Amino acid sequence: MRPYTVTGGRARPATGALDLLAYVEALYAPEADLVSLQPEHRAILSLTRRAQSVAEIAGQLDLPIGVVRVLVGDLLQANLVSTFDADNSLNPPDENTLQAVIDGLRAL
Amino acid sequence: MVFAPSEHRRPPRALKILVAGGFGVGKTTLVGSCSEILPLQTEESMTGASIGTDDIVGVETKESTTVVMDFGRVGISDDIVLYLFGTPGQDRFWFLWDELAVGALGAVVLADTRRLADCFPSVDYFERRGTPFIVAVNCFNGEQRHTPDRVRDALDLDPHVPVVLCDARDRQSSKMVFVALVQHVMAMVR
Repeated sequence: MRPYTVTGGRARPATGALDLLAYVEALYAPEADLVSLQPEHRAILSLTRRAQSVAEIAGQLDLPIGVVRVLVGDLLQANLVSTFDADNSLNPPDENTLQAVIDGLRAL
Repeated sequence: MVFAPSEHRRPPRALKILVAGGFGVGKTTLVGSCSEILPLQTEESMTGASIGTDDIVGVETKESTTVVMDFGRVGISDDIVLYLFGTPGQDRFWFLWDELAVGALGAVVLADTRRLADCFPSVDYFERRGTPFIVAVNCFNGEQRHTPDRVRDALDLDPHVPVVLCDARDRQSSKMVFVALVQHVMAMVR
């Protein structure tokens, strides 16, 4: 299936563009009785019971990021998900954070 | 069913590392060998007026391009997640890099000594942007054709930019590439 068939040909989200690392969290269960939902919308709701980033949703569902942005935009408009930015307040990160990353990587 | 508001709404800290380099140099392999999720490839579709030589004069053309980026994830702790992004290799998709590069912790430029010139554009890009980066030489099959110093000379790198050797297929070797980058970032912050 052509990727943008899922979005009905829409290339841009109804809401503003979302950062690749913006988090999406479901407010409703995927079984929500809403006829307008497509399987991909439900898949996103299911995946984001625990908040996930836009990039991660795209990867997990094997959909282009542009398509995920449109679908998340639909869900946002219907108030079925909330989105929030990843915590970038420590950008550039402090030394403790960097050390934690180094330790985490070494432990791989 | 409405979900109860989630207990820990505090978003995890997301850190982003870019992996750049020429086409076929092993970016996908490097991202994949460290990612805790299966190496994922996400596609970014871009629609825009076509630029370049294939314009037909007087005809409005639109072009839709799909760009594949590699995407990996490493959970560092409960509240820190590291994302690895392999940048699209083809030069014509550079406009995508700007979005990826915003807020990036740093970058790994992967080099293949058989085609060293392929990584010049990446080195230029990160130098111009002021993004901290290191160069990792991917030694295919343990083959080492040049020493790190010769690679540094060939790329005309600043003396403080680390050059490391790696085998992108090997997790132990690959993770040390990212460790070297974060150490480099740390040294620059100090």
